[in-house]
Amino acid sequence: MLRDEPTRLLIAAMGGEGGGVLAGWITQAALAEGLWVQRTSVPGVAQRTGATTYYLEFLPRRDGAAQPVMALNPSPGRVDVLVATELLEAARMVQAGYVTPERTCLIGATHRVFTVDEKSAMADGRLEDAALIAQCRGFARRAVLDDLGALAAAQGCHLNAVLMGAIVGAGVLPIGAESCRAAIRSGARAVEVNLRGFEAGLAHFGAPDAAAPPVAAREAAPADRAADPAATGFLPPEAGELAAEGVRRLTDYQDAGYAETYLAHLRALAAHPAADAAVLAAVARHLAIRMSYEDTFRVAQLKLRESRLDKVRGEARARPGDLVDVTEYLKPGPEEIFGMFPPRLGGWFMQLCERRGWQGKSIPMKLRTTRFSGFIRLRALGALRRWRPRSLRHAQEMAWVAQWLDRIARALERDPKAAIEIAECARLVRGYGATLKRGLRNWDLIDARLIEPGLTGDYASTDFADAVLQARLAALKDPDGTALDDMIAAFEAAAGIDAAPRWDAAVA
Amino acid sequence: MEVSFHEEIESLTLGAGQTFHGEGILAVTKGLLQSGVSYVGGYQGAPVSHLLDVLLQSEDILSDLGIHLETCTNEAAAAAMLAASINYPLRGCVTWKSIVGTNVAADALSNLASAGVTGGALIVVGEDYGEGASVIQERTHAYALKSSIWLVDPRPNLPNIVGMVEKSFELSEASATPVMMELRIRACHVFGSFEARDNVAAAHSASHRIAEPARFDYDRLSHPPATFRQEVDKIERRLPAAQDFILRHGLNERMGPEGGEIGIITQGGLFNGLNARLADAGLSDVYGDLSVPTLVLNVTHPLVPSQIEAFARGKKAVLVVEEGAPEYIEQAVGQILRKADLRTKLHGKDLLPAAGEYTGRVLGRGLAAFLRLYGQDPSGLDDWLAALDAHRDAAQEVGQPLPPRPPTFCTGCPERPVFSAMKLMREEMGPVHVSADIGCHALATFPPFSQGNSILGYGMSLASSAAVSGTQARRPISVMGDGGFWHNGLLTGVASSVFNQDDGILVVMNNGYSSATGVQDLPSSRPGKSGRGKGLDMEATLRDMGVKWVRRVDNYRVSKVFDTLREAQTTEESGLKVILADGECQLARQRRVRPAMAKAVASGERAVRTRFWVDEETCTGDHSCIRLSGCPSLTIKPNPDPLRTDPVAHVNNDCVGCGLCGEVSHAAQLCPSFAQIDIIQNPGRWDRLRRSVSDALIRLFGGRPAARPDAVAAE
Repeated sequence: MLRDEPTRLLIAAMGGEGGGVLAGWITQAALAEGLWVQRTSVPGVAQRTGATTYYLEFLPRRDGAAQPVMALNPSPGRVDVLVATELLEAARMVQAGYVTPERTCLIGATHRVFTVDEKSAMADGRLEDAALIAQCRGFARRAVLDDLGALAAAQGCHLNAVLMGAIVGAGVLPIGAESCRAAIRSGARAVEVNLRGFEAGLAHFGAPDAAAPPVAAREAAPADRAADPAATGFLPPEAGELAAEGVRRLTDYQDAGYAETYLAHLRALAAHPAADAAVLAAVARHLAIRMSYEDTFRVAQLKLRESRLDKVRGEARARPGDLVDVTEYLKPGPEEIFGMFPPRLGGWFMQLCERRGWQGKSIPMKLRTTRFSGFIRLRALGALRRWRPRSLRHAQEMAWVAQWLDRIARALERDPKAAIEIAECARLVRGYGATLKRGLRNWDLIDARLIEPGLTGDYASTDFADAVLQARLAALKDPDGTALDDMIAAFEAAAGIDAAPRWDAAVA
Repeated sequence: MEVSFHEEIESLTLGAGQTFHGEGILAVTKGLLQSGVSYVGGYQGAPVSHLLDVLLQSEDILSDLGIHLETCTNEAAAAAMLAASINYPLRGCVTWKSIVGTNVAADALSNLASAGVTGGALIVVGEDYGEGASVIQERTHAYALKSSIWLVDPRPNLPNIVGMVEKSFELSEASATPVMMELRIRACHVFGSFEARDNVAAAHSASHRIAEPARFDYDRLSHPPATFRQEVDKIERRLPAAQDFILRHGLNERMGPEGGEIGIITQGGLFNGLNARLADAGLSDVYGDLSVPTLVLNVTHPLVPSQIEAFARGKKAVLVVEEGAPEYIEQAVGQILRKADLRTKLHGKDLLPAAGEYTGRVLGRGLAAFLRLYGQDPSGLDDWLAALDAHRDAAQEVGQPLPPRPPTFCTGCPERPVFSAMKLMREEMGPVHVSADIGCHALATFPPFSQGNSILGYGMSLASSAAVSGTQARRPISVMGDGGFWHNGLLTGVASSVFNQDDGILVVMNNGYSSATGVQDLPSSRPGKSGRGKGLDMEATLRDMGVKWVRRVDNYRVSKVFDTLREAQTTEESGLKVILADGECQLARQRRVRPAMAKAVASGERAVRTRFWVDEETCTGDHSCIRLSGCPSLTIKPNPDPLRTDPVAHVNNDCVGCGLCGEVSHAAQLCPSFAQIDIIQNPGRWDRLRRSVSDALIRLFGGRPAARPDAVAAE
């Protein structure tokens, strides 16, 4: 029996990413090197953007020996090189046992292609990059991880060409760069671009034992903004910074007087002896967001931001000489339209809509803001924002803010931790149309069933903060509100609260 | 077609002395040409879709050899096509995905097997089992047993696969019985090499036609009383003939030393995985130099009792390595041992799991248990298994559970908007029963749509709604693709529904191709130079069949689809209501549109590229839009707002501008964050003039139009 062992390569990719092309290049290069090579894959519907793998084995030819028997499936603990086109897929392979400290060199792109679960979460469903990277590093014999997607974008090529270069650069396969270049050259399409990507990948990892540069932090630190320390000096540092941002935002949103109202609310809260840095920060953040609620005037104002068109051009990769048209999809409903009216008149119209069953009616509009006709309509709406303080929507929003601040102030008396959680509940109220209605419904429910009883001592104050936190998390679990209803019902059953009358009040 | 094989197809013309490099399925095709087939056909489906794709794209080669090619409308048609081999000395091969295709073909297969064949008949089935499989997990083996069809399960290296293709025709002819070759998913796609032989033109073919039909012979009909004689003939003549052929030609491979206390009997298809574990145990190496006696069954039905008996005689025990349930081979081996009165202990599903794929880990465990029982030291294997367990524990400790990444609709897929509309309807009218079907649209069973109450087979959705529509308050919706419609749905579904006056709703995804299997043409596909489509009119077909309520919708108009669904749900009109949901498969469309656009732009023609965009300043990070779409190009990115923390929606540059985002935000009244961006490349004079006037007016009213890098570039 001979001790020869094949070199085994597993590629973890997503369907449609070009993993098959990569595997094909490597196969061809291996043949050119005179190796035995076998490649398998699992195509089919799995190729439609789902996770998939390609598996290759290589063995030098030995004189007189038979054709080797190569495995069709990768075996955990028996993979020499793992190539991943995305960070989560790399971590998936680690968990499945295909990356082991004795053997595996992991070559991976660290960018994320978010899964549907992560994308569709109602808040932030993203996995933490750092944890995924730590797993990859922790289990690989050698981990070559970097933002190869950015490298590919810089070269204008697909990721697979860069990965091919990285594999050869890392020196983990018995395949030389020249065979790879030949394999890429024999391709039908985009040969020059792919070669460029290959060379970039090769150069990036070519230096022996080059330490991979650290992966860029996902969220860039917010740019320094000029803040007036005097205006927010009464707040602790974090809250002060947020408040400075809030002032800037609200001045732009309405005017300096409006921003002063914001500061007045914060000053009143800061005067409370139990108001600590955390609650002030939470309120500074959410009060600014809630006070800059997204009404029709605001949308019109944002749509005509001067920096916007340059951003669009850049993102759409328009070339010099191209003309770019932007068509906004707007569909104001009764709330958006009559919300601009004075409270009594607007209220009358809204009641009419309710009586006639017109709440669901709305006016679909496609406005071309790059053309004068579209521009001037938004311009007019934006200019009307001076009218905002006298509008129905403003009255409603300010009533909400007052209620929210009232709950926070009262909670400070009872349990400052609960006050923070109540402040955080402002996250639930946001957006437009159905999203806004859902948020208000959830807030009303939490307020009536958990916050008010908590404030009046209907249940143990030790449970207060946690109940509100759990309710907020439950509200973000599903758009139908099922998780929240279940959570509240379970909590009331445990706390022995009979909530039927309040339930009616909340939904009325 | 999704994949082009034009480069690979050249290797089909290789001759003796040349080395073929390619995937398993292409090698099978070459094997067919080397065997002198007269006709080929089949129905597409992974993992054998490529077999048909290759055949279609190599029509020139086929016609040089006089081979008749048929793209059948379903597997029953493909199986029935083999009838040509009953009377005539014609070799033929058909292919499909199993188990499902074999189910559809079952009637014809039974009749074919009863009559028996004169010319070799080969059925290549893709055994869609285990990792990557998309159908119910059953074994094709059952059909081989019940119909007396021989089953070939080749050891998956290309020389052996090709050799077994050639031998299968000989076996078929020697025993007057059709032969099935089952190829597992990875075997279909395994890339390897073999020494080619010359292609052989059949004596009788499309270019050398048979002058006269076969004379009348009642015994060639599967009709009583001939069927009684045929049943006896299967057992008394055909079976022994097959067993004799298998022995004489050494189709099953005896490996490892003679003698020994223990032995292994394995399905050919599992050999490579088994060898890797034997190598771990120190009982083999990468060249398959086994030190444990092994019988590799390249033919798993029929078994040859004398061969099994000779292998087992004198051994304390044998292990049968057989994937899937029930354990047909193990049962047969047990019976052979019992009848031969051998004391050899039989192991199989007692040490290996009764169900599920035999992965490396599973095989390793079973093999280690077997070796330990008989005093062999599997320490190398044990070390490996222990390391796997340790790794799993360690990985679980540090890593959070990872979200799955199931396949989804492609970017811009025309089927996604229909499911968006159905989700909106569910929100408005409450849930309805949804009968799902086979095809891309089955991806709507995954998040974010999570729709579908049952899947009963290809083209079966409407038929599976029959009793539901008769017993439920709200009308059920059956979803079917145009592939399923022509495969089966038209008759089992539509005709039956009309006939029984069922009150249901059928949505037919008219994307123009059999997309899930690789964008093959259908009878209703557009006729064209390259395709085989005939442009059959589904609407006319439905009306002719008596469907009164037929609506056509443009899928991307979500509000319109929504309204049509609502109308179908609420109309007083009874009977079947069919919505033809029109939208060309985006994969096919992009393959056509992209190169054309690139060419136009390069030659200076005016071309408009459209994509969508999310305004990160108005997006509040609720992601309702994603829950109604799930498009791969609609994703998230960090929130640029220093006060907000939830990520905002973001459209990346894979966007093909299908417009669903905007339509959904309109239909669902989501938010004002979506914008359509039209990039006018090589703008004309009129474009520029209009833009200049507009910009001047905007400036006049205090606006600042887009920065004009184009101003420099303009002539």
